Amino acid sequence: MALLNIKNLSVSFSTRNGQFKAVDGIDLAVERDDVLAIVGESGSGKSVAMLAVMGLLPWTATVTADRMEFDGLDLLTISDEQRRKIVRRDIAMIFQEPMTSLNPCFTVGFQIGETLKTHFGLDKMAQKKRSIELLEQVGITDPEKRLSAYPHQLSGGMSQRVMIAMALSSEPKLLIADEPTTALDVTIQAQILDLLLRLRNETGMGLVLITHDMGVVAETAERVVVQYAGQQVEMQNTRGLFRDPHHPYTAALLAALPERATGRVLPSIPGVVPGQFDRLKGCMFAPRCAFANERCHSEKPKRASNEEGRALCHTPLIEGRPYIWEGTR
Amino acid sequence: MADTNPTPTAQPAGPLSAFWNAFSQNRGAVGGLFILLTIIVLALFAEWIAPYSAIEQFRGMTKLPPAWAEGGDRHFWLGTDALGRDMLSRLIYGARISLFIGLSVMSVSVVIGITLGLVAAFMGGAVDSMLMRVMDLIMSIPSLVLAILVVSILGPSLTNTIVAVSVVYLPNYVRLVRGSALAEFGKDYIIAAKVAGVGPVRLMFVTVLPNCLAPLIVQAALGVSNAILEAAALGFLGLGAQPPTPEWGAMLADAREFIRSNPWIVTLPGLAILVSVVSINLFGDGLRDALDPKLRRS
Amino acid sequence: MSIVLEARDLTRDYTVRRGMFSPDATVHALAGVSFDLEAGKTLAVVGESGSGKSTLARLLTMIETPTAGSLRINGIDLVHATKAERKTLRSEVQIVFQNPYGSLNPRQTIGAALEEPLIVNTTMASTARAEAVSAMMARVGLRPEFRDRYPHMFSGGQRQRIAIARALMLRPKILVLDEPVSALDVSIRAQVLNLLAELQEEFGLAYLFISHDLSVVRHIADRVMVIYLGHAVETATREQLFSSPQHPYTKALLSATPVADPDAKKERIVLQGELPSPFDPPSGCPFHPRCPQAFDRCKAEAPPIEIKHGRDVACWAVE
Repeated sequence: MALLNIKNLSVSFSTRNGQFKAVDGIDLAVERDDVLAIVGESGSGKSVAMLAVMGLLPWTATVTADRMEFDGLDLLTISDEQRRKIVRRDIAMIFQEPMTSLNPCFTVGFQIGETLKTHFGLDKMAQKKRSIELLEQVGITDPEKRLSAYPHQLSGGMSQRVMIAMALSSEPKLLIADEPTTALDVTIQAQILDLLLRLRNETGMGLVLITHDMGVVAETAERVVVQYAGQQVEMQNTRGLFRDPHHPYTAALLAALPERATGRVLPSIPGVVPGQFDRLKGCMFAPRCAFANERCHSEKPKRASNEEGRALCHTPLIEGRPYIWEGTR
Repeated sequence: MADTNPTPTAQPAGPLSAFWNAFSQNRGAVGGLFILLTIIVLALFAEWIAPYSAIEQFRGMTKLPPAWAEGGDRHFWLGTDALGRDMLSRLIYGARISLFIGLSVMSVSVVIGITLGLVAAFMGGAVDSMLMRVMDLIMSIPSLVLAILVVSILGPSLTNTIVAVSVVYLPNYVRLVRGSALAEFGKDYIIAAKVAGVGPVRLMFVTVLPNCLAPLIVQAALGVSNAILEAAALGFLGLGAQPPTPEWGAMLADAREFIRSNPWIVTLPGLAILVSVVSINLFGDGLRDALDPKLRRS
Repeated sequence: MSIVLEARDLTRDYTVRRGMFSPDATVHALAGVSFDLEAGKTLAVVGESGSGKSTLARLLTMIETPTAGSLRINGIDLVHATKAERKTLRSEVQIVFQNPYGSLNPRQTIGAALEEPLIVNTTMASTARAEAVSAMMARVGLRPEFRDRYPHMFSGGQRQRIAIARALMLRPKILVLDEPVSALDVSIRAQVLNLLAELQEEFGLAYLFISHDLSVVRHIADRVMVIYLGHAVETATREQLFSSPQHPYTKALLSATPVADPDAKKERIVLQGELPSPFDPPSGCPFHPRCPQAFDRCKAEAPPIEIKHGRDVACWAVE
């Protein structure tokens, strides 16, 4: 049974200028031991979808889904009490800015201890012992001394490790990491990604990695979901995605990477991501797509089959060329 | 080269209409604005609105109650004071004086405050320390006491009231501008301006100052009401505008002895001060809420 | 091959007050960095946080003066230049910042922002200025009708174009680019990098491109200088650096940079430890505590920069 099972998730925000659909029809299934990457640029809604799962969205958000289950529990209808007890224990989330994710007024030991007390009711001695264990697990040297450190005394990499330790303290079944290494130096990034994979191997928890960096995806993830303007445009295993992307956006994104450049000029994607006021009749990517035709501009595309990466496209690419279905799908 | 940016499809609302949208959500603020505008109109057109002159004494009509009370006269809607002067007219002319004081104090302290605040922020070091210590000194003396001190030195009059109250409220603006300017200093666009060769004076007034204006505008609006209160206090003590000028505080002082016998002579100027100050404060609060981006809903 | 900027042994120290009861500490932000900039070519400066690359940017744009060393632009030594000379040199070096959201004055229309360098430095008439602004806006791909709009009405990529336009208004010879695309989305990054390449060719600009992203560096750099804790550890041409890195830190950086190819095999070097505190730099070679190839001499003596394998390297372990 899938650990996290999401079907047709949509999130709308009520703003001063009307409703804004930040997430539009996402399907996700995460198993134990899985490493899934959600890739997208700004405005793709990748963080919002996961925040909806955690129940961390503001009151202006409306979450709808055909199904949103975690470990058999229906996340759409649970009470706040259940959410606090079950969801916040079994799903953990870490964020982009480690420096600001920790409370600057309290020591590291206090903050980890707080989580332990809430979920396991440990006393002070047990908290300290377990905290030291956790800090060791995330690779912090001299853990006993670090317990009495304040967040501002830690470097970026160290703060992120503390965040991971806090996330692990509730022994979660699923860890969601929202751009965990974007704010860190590249050598520290390598350390943190290594750590996350090692922890996954040791504890068997599922890992959802939200990122915009295709390199990180290639090196860490087993499956990839690509999002654009709130919609899920492709889902494939990593190797397949890089070798043969099926959605034109994925292909364009890969082509725009500097490391894949052949000449001085990078094949860039013209135009910008559609904003709140640009809701199109047809495919959201059509204005910028090199393969778009009449149908793309007027009709919303349906999802393709698994072999075509479940691409949201009328003519998904096979080996770089659009494939036109003769019959019905 | 291909035009790689399409037009931003929806024109985001211009700054003025965006501001009005945010501001008008606060009904108290709109109410305050409305009353304030009424007072301003009264002040501007006092000669045409007030039925009588503010200083004309009607012998034999002294201490008349308002027209709706027993013994009142419909020629004098709000009654007359101890010397037979029409209350309504005095209040209307008083509005002009109070607003004049409020706006003058605000203008003087804002202009000097901005200059000193920016100088302190830019020069730093000894100049900054010295300026801030002087400001601390001013703030450490209770406002009314300081105002009385200044007026005693300079002599009681309307102009000197304005000077005194300006001195008292100067530190607020200096600290505000200095704080905002210092907060902007770390930002890249300041460095970009320096690299482009912008000199210190232009950097101060053209680059940094517009970014410090929002809290300053709010403070200035509220400062008008503070100034009116201070001036009324000084007037009450006889240190402000001298008789027969119809300043509301002075009117209160003159009428103190009649609080039991002819209460309206005291109550009406008091009410006028109350209404003005409350309306300006409501307006200022609304202004702050509208200008502070963090308080706005999405 | 015309050299527009020569930097020799650039050093910058900061004295930091540590409160009332501790003595002042000295931070050696830059320790003797040397390089040349050529017209039409890009020198990439690669380093992580604390490496001193931002300090380098500030020194080149004359926001700060070096504690030691020389910096010559157009043959004039900046450290000993007169005030008038510095004023003229200022328009030769301009900068583009990393953060497109903070580098533009939120209360200034972009037209005014673009005009400002002209108002301050030239005696052009206002019509001439307006024309120059329109021309530059069109050149970077913005519609000149947008000159009266405020920065918050533009996207990150567009703001970066505005920042580039502003930097070019004075027709500088040298452009310091401090992580100009790091904060942008991948697809926008490509657009801006293309723009920079075009402008370099058209105006013959020398770029000092500061970045921590090696994949971008590989695309645009002609030469690369790697710095660690204020020291230049390796300076080489792009081909040399990427195909045969010599310094252990360079190798570690290359290994740590994620490659967008799941099948790529890489030598996995994961550095241990953290960057040392700048107040307490290690003795000898600054990299030795984390270096997989360190030995005794590294701790005792700092290696000088020598030419080995056709490039400048500072390492005892390299033959």
